[in-house]
Amino acid sequence: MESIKVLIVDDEPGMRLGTQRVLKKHKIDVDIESEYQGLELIIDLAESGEEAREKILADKPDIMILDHKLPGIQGVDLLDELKTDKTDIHTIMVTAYASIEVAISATKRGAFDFLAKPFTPDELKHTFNKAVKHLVLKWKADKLAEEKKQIRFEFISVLAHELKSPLAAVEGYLRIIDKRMAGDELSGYDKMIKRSMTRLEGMRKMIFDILDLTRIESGKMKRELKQVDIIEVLKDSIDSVSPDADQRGIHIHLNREEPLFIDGDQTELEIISNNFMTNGVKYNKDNGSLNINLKEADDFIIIDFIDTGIGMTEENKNRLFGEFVRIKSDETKNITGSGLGLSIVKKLVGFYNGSVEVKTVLGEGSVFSVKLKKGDNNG
Amino acid sequence: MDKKILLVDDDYDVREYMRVILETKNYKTLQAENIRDAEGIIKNENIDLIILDVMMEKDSDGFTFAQKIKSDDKYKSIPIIMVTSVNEKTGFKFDKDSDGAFLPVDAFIEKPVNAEKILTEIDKLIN
Ligand SMILES: Nc1ncnc2c1ncn2[C@@H]1O[C@H](COP(=O)(O)OP(=O)(O)OP(=O)(O)O)[C@@H](O)[C@H]1O
Ligand SMILES: [Mg+2]
Repeated sequence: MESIKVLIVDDEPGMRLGTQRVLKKHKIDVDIESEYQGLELIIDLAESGEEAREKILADKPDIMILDHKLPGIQGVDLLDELKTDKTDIHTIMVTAYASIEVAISATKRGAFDFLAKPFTPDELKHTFNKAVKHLVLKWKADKLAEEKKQIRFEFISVLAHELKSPLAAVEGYLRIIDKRMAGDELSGYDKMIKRSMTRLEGMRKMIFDILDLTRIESGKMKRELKQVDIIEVLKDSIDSVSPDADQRGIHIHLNREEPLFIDGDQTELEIISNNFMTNGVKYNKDNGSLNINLKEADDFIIIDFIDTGIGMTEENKNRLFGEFVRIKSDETKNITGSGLGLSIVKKLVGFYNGSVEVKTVLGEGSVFSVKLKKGDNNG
Repeated sequence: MDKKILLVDDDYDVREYMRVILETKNYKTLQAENIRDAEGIIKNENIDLIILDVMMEKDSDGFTFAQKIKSDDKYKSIPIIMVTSVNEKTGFKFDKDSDGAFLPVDAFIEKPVNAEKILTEIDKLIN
């Protein structure tokens, strides 16, 4: 993309060469990003519409400066042809007189802009710059769209894999149960049934997580901003993880009782709180602890989730917020999860001008610090 | 003596139901959830056959591992059955005759694994 191909089509040799000379000396100067600075111009010439057509077929130019009045096929007719072929050439139509009708009909037929003869070098440069700028913007948009498509494709492939794994597991177990392959003892099948239920539960959670994620991304999630007491939200999360925590002797402590209000959406704050709370229990050690410490700093609330769990390496820490990322180790292999929790949290925290910071030591524990703005969170 | 089969798959439950299937024919199973563990087991045990999932952590793990085994004089006689799930996605079926050259394995089995099919395949390869 470091060059722009230009085709000048004019039957008058003087016009052709004059235009070429101006453009050759011209330094492209449009206000564009550095990756598109210093674009080189590759200029080609054609004497007639027929010759232009041939050259376009052989090597499509990015910008064409096209004379309206040509001996054989006319400029506008060439435009029509190009339009039906959907070639996206930025055409600057050159008209012999400042006729507004010709200009209008040319733009209708797909010309990007027009120049009235006779024109000064500055007029030419100005119009040409406009075309270049437009072209570069289009390149950028195309590139972004392409990247987005790629990311979406990758997301869907990973998703398909993630959903297929539990299906394969459950199907495998069911076939064994169906054929009574594990012998006549009924108890031999209990574990398979338990495992199947666990896998289905994981699958259900993943589907709900994906729905959350896509709703957040598409902006379709209705936000209802009001004053929410974050302490209440945290306490509810604690209640929902308590059965698991109690069973494993994990002690949870919240350092503040009096209400602390934040301008936010109840559901969003619940999702954020629940994710850190469940992680703090799931990835903790038996008889460990999870401390939730709240601080206020200027317009922000900082919530620290401090656990005495398995921690992780620096390398893994940096991957954490990616979609479907789960850290595989002996400690985590029996813990279910979709690896979407933190990517959802990251998106939501963005609504609160916030951030998440992680400090962690493998084998010792982690601190997840969430920073949320107290007010004005509707952008 | 019972034959020893190494199961390589990153999914605990897949290894588990495969183990049940194999035990109906009294095969002894050893399990590895990643390539590193599988390499260790092959070194220390006399493995008679490997059942290998293509799709693991990285897309190419299974392929690379099969190639490595089959180019090692010490291990290349161990038959490998590769478990794939490509068919349902691409309609592209692996075949020993056409794909054996770049994919040096002895048989392909589609996921979800059919118990009878895999047992017949194993029987052909090691008995
Ligand atoms: N407090 C923690 N201590 C240690 N590891 C953690 C902690 N929180 C998250 N992780 C690691 O980060 C990974 C990603 O976390 P995340 O919450 O995104 O997904 P998950 O808990 O696996 O699944 P989900 O939350 O979607 O059910 C986890 O799989 C785990 O390996
Ligand atoms: Mg989680």
